[in-house]
Amino acid sequence: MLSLIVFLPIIAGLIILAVPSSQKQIIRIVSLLAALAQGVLAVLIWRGYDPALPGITAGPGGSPLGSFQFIEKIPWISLNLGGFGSLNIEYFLGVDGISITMVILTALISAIGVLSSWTIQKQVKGYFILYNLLASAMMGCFVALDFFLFYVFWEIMLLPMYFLIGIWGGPNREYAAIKFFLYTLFGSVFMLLVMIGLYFSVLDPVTGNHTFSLVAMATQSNYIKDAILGPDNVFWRYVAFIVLFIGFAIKVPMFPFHTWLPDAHVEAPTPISVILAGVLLKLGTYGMIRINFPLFPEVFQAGMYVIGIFGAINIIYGAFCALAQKDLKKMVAYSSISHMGYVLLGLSAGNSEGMVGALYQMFNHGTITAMLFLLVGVIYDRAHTRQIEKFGGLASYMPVYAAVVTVAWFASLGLPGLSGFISEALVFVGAFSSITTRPIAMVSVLGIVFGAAYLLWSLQRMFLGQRRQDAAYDLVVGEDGHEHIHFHDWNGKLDLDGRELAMLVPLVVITIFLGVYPMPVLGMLTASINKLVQVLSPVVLSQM
Amino acid sequence: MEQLTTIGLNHYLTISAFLLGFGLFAVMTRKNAIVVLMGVELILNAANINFLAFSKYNGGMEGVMFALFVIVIAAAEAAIALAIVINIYKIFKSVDVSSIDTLKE
Amino acid sequence: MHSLIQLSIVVLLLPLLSFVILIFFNRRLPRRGDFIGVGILGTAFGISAYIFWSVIVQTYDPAFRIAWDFTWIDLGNVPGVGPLQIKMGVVIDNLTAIMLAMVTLISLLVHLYSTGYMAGDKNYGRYFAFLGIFTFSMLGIVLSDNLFAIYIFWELVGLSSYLLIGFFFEKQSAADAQKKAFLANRVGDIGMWLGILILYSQFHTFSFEQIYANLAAGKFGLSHGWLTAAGILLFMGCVGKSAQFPLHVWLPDAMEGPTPVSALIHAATMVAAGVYFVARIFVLLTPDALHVIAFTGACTAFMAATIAITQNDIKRVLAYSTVSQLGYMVLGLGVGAYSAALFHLVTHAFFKACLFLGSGAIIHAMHHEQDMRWMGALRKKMPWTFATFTLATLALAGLPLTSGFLSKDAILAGAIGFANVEGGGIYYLIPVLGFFSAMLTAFYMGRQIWLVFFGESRTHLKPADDHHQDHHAHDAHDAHTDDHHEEHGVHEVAWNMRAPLVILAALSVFFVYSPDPLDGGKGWFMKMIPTPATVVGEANHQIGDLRASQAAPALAAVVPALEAPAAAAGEHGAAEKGAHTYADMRQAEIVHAGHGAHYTAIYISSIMVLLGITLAFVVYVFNIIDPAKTAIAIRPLYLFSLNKWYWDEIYDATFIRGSMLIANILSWFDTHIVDGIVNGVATMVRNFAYLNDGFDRNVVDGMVNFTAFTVNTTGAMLRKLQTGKVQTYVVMLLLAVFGYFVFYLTRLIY
Repeated sequence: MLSLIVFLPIIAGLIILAVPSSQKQIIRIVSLLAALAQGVLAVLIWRGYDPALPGITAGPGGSPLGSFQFIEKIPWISLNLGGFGSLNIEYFLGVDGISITMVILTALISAIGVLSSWTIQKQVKGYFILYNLLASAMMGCFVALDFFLFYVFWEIMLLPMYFLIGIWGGPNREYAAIKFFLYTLFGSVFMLLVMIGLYFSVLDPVTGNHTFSLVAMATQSNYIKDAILGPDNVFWRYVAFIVLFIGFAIKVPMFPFHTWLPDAHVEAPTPISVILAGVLLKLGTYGMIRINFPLFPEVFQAGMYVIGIFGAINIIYGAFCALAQKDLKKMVAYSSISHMGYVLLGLSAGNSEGMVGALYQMFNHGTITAMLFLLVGVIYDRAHTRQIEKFGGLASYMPVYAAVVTVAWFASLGLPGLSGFISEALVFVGAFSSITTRPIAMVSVLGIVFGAAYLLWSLQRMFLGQRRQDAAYDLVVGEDGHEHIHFHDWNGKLDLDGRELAMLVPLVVITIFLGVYPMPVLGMLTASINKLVQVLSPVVLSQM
Repeated sequence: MEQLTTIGLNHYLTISAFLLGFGLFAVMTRKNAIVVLMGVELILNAANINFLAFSKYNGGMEGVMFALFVIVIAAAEAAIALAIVINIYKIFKSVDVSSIDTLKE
Repeated sequence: MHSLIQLSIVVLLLPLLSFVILIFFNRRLPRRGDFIGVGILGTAFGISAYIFWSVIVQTYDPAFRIAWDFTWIDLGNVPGVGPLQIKMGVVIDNLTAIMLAMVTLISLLVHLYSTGYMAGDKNYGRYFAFLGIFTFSMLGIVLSDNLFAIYIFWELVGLSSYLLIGFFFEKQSAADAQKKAFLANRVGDIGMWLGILILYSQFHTFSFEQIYANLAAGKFGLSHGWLTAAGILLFMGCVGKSAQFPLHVWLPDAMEGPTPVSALIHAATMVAAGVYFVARIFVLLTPDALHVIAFTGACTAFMAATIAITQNDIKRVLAYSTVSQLGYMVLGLGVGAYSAALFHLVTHAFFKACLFLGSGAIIHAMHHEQDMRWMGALRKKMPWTFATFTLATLALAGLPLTSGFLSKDAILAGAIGFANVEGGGIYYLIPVLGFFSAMLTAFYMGRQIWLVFFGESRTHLKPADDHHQDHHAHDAHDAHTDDHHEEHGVHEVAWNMRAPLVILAALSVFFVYSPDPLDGGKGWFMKMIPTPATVVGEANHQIGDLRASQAAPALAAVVPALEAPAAAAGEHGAAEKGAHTYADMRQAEIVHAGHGAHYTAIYISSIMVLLGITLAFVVYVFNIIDPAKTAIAIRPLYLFSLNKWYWDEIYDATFIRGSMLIANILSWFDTHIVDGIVNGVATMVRNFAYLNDGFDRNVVDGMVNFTAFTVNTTGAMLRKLQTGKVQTYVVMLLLAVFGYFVFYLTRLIY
């Protein structure tokens, strides 16, 4: 099941490879079908998922069974290295509470990304092959439970992303693509080192061999006492945690490693921005939750305060930077930085409320930011500019668009009744309840005001008031005697068309539904998060 | 004076040396491949004379045998060499050895 | 589930239904679906009236309370806490029942009124949808039984207020005002949210009942200062929503919204939500927090009143009057006059809604003229409006026989009692400010009545360019304005706008609330809304204390004490002097003392009100004092008031510009420093690569190339020897042989 959901897009990519590049429509439809099939599989996995099983660590007897679900575990690479022992890499997939939400999110965002890619006209075949490769790699990252396999998917992801930005991007695309690529690669090099160190420090309790299994690594008793990353080697464990954290923090992106994000977003085509913000950023925080924290719980305990401070910096710094932006897409990019700060803050709390909030925020940020970027794309398609100052009074002329923007914008600023609010609220509840992060939470609430400030200000400048003198569109009097606006170089429908509604309406519905009744997502999370909190708690650590 | 009247080994060797000298001269200086061939024949015959002369004054038959071999091989060699010259002529339309320097490149 | 709970949930959801129907289908419905909005609100009011009747009239029990909740978020078995759920629920007590009826009634009347006022607007249907979601959110605040739910509806109310203030979003000023309102509210909400977090972090619940039970059991794990902080922070939510100083700046600007909206949201209900919320958390407020609240309320009441006397826009005068009256309510809660404050909330809601709707009728009749300087002499043309407006004005000013008199007087009495109990000094500032504001209120309302309804019509005095500007501003939402001119079209409004005025004016008379025109304490309202016992007393830990034991019966008898003879109460208060360090005893004392001060308050406030009205007559009717000359004489003060104490300018210079400055600095920092470092590192790496490349090409590769070069040159020299001619080789051979011979011979010789 999980293999299928991971490799379905690659299969679609292979089919596309066989389709002549002139058949653009067929290529698109094959991709869409693959994405929809992925969605169906995600729903099936969701329906078959038992929320009572905790995941995170191994179940009874050291086996992942009874803890993880939909497990697929077969030996993949077995090499006898003579004096070094043997190299055992497994093809090991499985989901628990923290990954199943991400699997669902990935399937959703992938499908919406395909719809959004409909307008790509340049080298359609190459685009969709890379897109499908990207979709597979993302999904793979979320379900891989073998560190080596995770690393492979992690690296595979970079390649299509590099080309998708570098070929289909905006004017400064090469700079942005290289920046993105090198920055992420920089992080993953350290990850590789830590991964190898972990391999030689951990024994699989069942087989007695060294292992890359993240499940085995999450139990501290599986570590060899005097190994490089064993419990006795405190210094190297700290170093490993920090470099691993930086590797993931780059992806989040956490201040001060965030500057690749605005560039990448501004240059990337709309669907790639959607994928980038909707799914890729989550891999950073997912990596922290899955790998960084449970593998080095005592270092996490010591570093909670620092992580929290970085979270707060992200929230407030991102909000201020967003307030100053003139390019709408850049503003949304900085809002992403701000919102990912809430995830970091929630994680740093180290309690269930905060962590549930953080994971829920990851999901909600995925849907809400996807919506924001789609909406930016809609106006960019029409006006060929994203300068906020080039608009004004749009609400009178594009009422449906304005309504959806209002919902999305308010979702982003955390209005109750929309999903973002619950996650932000839980993050604050958690961060405030933890004595460590309480002062940080008290400062971070400022983000609520400044978040509202930049969003409402942009809303006002673009949609309210009257058309500006130097607006990107003309006013014309239509046949009915009313004034309409006309964009240069745009012959499509003025307001949202069917395809755009098909992308946006599901997201709007999800945002509202999960804002009113969050349990469908939270219910899957709680068992895993409670288990994780237990793994990370100082009480458990002191008993070791 | 007796030395002048009796023909001895030195006379043969002298003749042979002159023949060798003429042969070498022809080989080195002439441009016509056939003349060069003729020079080669002269050198061979100079060697033959030496063989025969030493054979006579040393009292063995080895020199005669070598001379016979040389004559036979020289005939064969001449045939092959002439064939080569004809082919060279066919390719280069000339038998001028100075113009046949393709080995250089 | 109690049937009243079920009904209340129906009431809650009906306006939401109205919103959903109208937002999606208004263009397909006849009359844009306004009848749906009115009809649904009518139903909701009907049910609310039934709940009111059941609770207040039938049950008539001060301690009535029913509640119901359900698990909204289940966090499972949380380590360190145990099973943890976040619940949502509904509570119905007397206060809820009254608020429910009040909100639905005013909302219904505003809906009805709007069918006339907003007729012809291009977004007519959307307007009713927004009214629907507002009513839903407001009812949510009223019914919620926990802090989290209140916070949710609190923000939703903020949203609907945002949408309705900016209803004429084509106007720049409206778009500015709506943003300002939302942000000012958010600032308050931050405080409220932190207050909620303080309480949650201790008890892991949001429910009022459980928080209070835990507090009363002394389970608060932090110091007492944190509890005071929690109270003040929660009060910040009220500061934002009820437009208290220093976050009051948004409310006058919010008058950019349609006038019925101002009546519903920015006078009667939403702004009162802050007061309602403070009432809900009243029992956890420590004495220190209550002092902060009392002073905030007093400052607000006074400041807004001073601003209101110079404003020229009819709605702005009312807006500042609203801020001032909200200040009274907050003051009332702060001094412990709980019942009086809530009483004033309800009476104010009716008469202020009446005033706003009346001003709306005037504005409508005057074709969107809002400046009182160009009105006048409307008394004859609009008799109904005049009558209802005047009645509501009397109530606002607090003249006897009106509802406002009863409630305002109770608050002021409470303030005097509070100052007495606290031991005077600075605390007397609160009643003094209260009485002074009462005089100012009478003055500016007298001025308004005179300018609008009496004297000569001054429409022709309006400067021409001013005309033009004003028209232009209103073009966006009222296309037919241009054709008419003020003078011709002024006439009484239609029945659907008149009926709400009459109903609201009728609800501003004393006998609705109390049989005694001089004492609200004898009425049903004050009896049904007793002051709840505080849960923050340290007395819990000092039961053995003699004074505590003496005070205990007084606390238990809070309700009867209200009816106790004033003199007895005063003696009791004196006997207990010094006991006010214990929050609960202090509270009981204040109630007694307030009752004792009842007649004092009546005398002083009546004198102040009469003084205010007299002053208004002196200035505007008899022209004994010329307002223009006075303004010049006290020009700095006049400008200070006219410019609203310069709060907007101060905030603009500090917070707004400050934020933008920080934003721009950080953005610069981001692109130049943070990204500069990243790009700098990249450049450094690249330069190092160039250097490395140079070394590689010149040194490492240089050596390789040098070797090759040497071999090559030597070869080139040697190849000269190779002529390709056989004869040359032969010559060389000979030379070599010759050379060998020479060499050999030389060796042979030597």
